[in-house]
Amino acid sequence: MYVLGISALYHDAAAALIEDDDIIAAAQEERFTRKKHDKSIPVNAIRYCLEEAKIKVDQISAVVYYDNPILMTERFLANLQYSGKDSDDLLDFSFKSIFNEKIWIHRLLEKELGGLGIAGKLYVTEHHISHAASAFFPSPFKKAAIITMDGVGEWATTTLGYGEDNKIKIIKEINYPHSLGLLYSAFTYYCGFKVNSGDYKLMGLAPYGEPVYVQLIKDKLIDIKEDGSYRLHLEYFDYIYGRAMTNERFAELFGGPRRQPEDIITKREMDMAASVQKVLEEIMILTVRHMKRLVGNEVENLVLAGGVALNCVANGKIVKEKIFKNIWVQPAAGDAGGALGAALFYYYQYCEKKRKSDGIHDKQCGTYLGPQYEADEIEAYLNKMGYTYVKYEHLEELYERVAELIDEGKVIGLFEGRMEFGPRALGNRSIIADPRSPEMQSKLNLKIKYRESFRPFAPSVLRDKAEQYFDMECDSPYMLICADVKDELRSRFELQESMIETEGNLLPVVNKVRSVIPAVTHVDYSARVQTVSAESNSVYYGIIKAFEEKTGCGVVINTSFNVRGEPIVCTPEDAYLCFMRTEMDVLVLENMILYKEEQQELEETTDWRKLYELD
Amino acid sequence: MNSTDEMKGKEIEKLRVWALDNVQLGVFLREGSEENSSYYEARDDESTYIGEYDFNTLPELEKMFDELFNLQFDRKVKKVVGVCAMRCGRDLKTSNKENLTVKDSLPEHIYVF
Repeated sequence: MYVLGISALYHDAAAALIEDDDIIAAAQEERFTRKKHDKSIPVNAIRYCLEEAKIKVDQISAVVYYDNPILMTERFLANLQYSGKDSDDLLDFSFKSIFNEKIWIHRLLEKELGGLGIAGKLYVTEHHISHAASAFFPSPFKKAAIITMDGVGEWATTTLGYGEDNKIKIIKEINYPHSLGLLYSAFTYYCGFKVNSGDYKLMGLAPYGEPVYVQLIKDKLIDIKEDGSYRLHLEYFDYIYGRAMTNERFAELFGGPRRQPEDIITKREMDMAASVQKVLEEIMILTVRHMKRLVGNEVENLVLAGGVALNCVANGKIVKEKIFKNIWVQPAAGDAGGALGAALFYYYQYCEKKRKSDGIHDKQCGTYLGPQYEADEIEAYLNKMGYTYVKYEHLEELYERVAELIDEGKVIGLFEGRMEFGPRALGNRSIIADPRSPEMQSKLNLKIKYRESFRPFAPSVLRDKAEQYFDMECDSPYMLICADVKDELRSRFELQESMIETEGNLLPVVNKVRSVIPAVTHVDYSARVQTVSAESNSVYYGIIKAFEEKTGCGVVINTSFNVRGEPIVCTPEDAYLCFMRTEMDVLVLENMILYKEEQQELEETTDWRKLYELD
Repeated sequence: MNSTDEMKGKEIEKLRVWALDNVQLGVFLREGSEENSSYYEARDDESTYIGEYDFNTLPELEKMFDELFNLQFDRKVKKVVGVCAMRCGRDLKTSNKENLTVKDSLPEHIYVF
């Protein structure tokens, strides 16, 4: 039985195809259209999924959409009633998307696919059921507590649930307009980042600040109960009226208007980031504790999804608390993963199919679920374009050469295997470099990613060496858990002293050496770790292993293969363009290596910098 | 402005008037208050976890509203919303594939939900 799940029209459109209990393919639409966070009907992702399975639409048992448009319309009407005379913006901004698109999702998909599979009708799941399903069904666990948190689905913004075998159930929920995700996004917006996609930047900024606003947030913006439930004080927020997240009352609390994008980041924003991050962590930990009381001691596992679950710093704090023995986070925890959850819910719960789980291995396939390009296909492309490359017949030689290049301080674009599903690059569409170099963080930021300097890079570490470098006892194959660099590897570094010295300029602060792997050590000694095993990714493991054998260091920098504003590369052509548009030194396409100095200058008719909106 | 836009403008105006005439500041009030120990709402109903999604006519759409809405809205606004949807849906029958979705024109500062 093939089931196609689809997310679209809100954030991060995606398609996911399952065949019985196997995930065959999943991909975000943005990777194909090259439009970041593309939310339109994912026609390209759907086409890819069908091609991967070598099937046509009429072989699909059911097509399942991850959100219920009728329940969403109910929320819209409630919003109108609340807004009353202030409903103009709500109507102006929402009318078209609701009445031209969302409510007609069945016809849009039918027209695009040329049918709705064997069932002939579209199925829709509730938004948080899609998240819950994406968290539980691919997890290794027979039984688990389920927590989902995001901005909002139809109504729910936080759900607490339980999964066992092939069934999930929501036990409690918090509903719109009270939302931890929207609170965090309000701060994202106020600190000058993009409201729909900049939350991770706020998280990256938080370690630079001091949580001086925590009490103010708790006094004025949100009431938190001991069980982690919360309610926002709505008079400080304008999103209910379809306007910006915050209003003048909010601004008065924090001493003035919001920061404009591209303006200098001041201590105020750093402290606000630190403060809301601390509040979010507190709520999540209280919620997890409450969840544990609800499910009892016999349930040792917790699974997470929803956009808030992408907050890997909070996830790391939850792991440290040891409230649950095991934690699994859906790698595509945001809306893209809803496509996968919708398909899985239909299969397991609606169709009552058996689910196997061994408690150890998940069904996510390393989240390498996107398209791959065979070596001979890539070679044909390179020859056709006349690009110069060196081909390696033996993988071991490739690993050794790449390790050598990393040690020489080269920045390497790595393009291997199937593309990752979810926001993180995990070695198949990654830019890698030497984490020991004190200059590498700045070099990567300014010459490759062309982005703000305060943002740290993340490490990939050999799984069996992770505990030598980081305070972590659990696996983190999807880079969704932050851990601290081990004490003995750190250098003395006083953040606040440094900030005073540099008068708040973050670039010199970022450049101060903080550990033996400075390029992946954040200013608070934390790191967003990916643990790599030979089973999960033999090529990536082989490269890091070769680097370790050469240098003694079992860690590499791993950042996503893209420039700022661009989605992660999908095709060899995307990879070559990114390689040539930046100061990257080397490109590895499967078993072929391209050196920058051997390439002809790239001739483009348009300025690529104008192609991508800065994120 | 073409006749389709004019028509949609009228529907938007009807919704605007309805919002003005039916203000309910308490529409989001849920069980639980500052004095209670929890703001969680118990969730028992599983009927909306998944379902078939299909309508072609206004009565079919109104039936879905009746079955799925928990809040009490009067029949008039359900009719207005239904008519909005049906009139906008006419565009789908005539549009070509490339125009199937609304171009993203939301200002950057607006959260998409």
